[in-house]
Amino acid sequence: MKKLVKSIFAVAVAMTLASCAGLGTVAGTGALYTDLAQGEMVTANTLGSKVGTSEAVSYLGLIATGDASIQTAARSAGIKKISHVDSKKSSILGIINTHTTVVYGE
Amino acid sequence: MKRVLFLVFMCSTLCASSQTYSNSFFMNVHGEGKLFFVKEMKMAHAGGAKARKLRYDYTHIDARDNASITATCYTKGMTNIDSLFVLLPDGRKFGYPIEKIYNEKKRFTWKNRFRAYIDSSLWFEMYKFEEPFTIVVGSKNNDDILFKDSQSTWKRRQKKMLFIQSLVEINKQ
Repeated sequence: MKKLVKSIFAVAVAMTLASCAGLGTVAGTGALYTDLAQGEMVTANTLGSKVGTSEAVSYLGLIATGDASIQTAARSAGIKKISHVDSKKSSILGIINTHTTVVYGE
Repeated sequence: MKRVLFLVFMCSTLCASSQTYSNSFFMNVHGEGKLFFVKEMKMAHAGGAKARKLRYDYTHIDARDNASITATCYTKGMTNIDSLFVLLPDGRKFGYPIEKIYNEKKRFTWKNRFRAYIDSSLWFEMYKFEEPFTIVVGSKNNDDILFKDSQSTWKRRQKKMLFIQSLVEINKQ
C-alpha cells in the first residue's frame, strides 16, 4: 500500500513539474513523456534549402535558460528569407524540458 | 521506490529511439527532391590552435551534388576562418572554401559560425571507414584547428549516419 502511494505521489509530482515547465503543445503535454513536433508559422516563400535551429531548456520547472527565438535560429543558418517555422518539444517526467525552434528558408 | 526507478528507466528508454534515429534528423519534401537535415553533433578537438568542440550539422538535397556542413567553432581569440579540410583515414585530403555566417564574442571565447559545401560523394564516403575522419578548420592566421571523433563516438555516429545516408539513397528520385 505504501509503495502504491509513493508511486502515485511520484506521478503527481511529475504532472506538476510538466505543467510548471509550461511546454504547451497543440496536443497538450504528457505527464510522463512528451516528444512532439508542431508547426509555428508559414510564409508565402517556397521551402528553403537552409535549416537553422535554436533551443531553450528548463530543469524541474525551476531553472529555464536558452534562446529558442526565430531570429537566432535564422541567424544560425544565415537565413534571410524564411519559408516556415516548426518547433519540437520534449519532456521527460517534467525534469528536463526542451523547446527547439526549426527555421527553414534561404 | 523500485517502481519509481523502473518508471524513470522506461521513460528514458522511450526517448532513446536508437533504431530509427528519428530524433537525429528531419526529412522534408523540397522543390529539388528530398531535403535531409541532420541535427547538430559535436566533434572533439584533436590538435592545432585551442578551441572547444566543433558543433556541426548537415543539410543534403537530392538534386544538388553537395552536402552543406554548417558549423560553429569556438576559439580563444579572433580567428579569420577561411577554409575547411576533410582528412580521410586513407590519407586523402579534400579542401573547401567556407561561407562566413557570423563571428561574435561570447564571454571569454569567439563564436565563429560558417558553412562549407562538400561533395555529395565525399559525404557518403566519409562514413565508410572503420576509423573516423578529421576535420581541419583553416584560417588566414595559419592557426589551423583539428577535430576528430573518439573511436567509441565514431562507432555510434557511423551507425547513425549510415542509416540516414541509406534513407537519402532510397529516397532519391
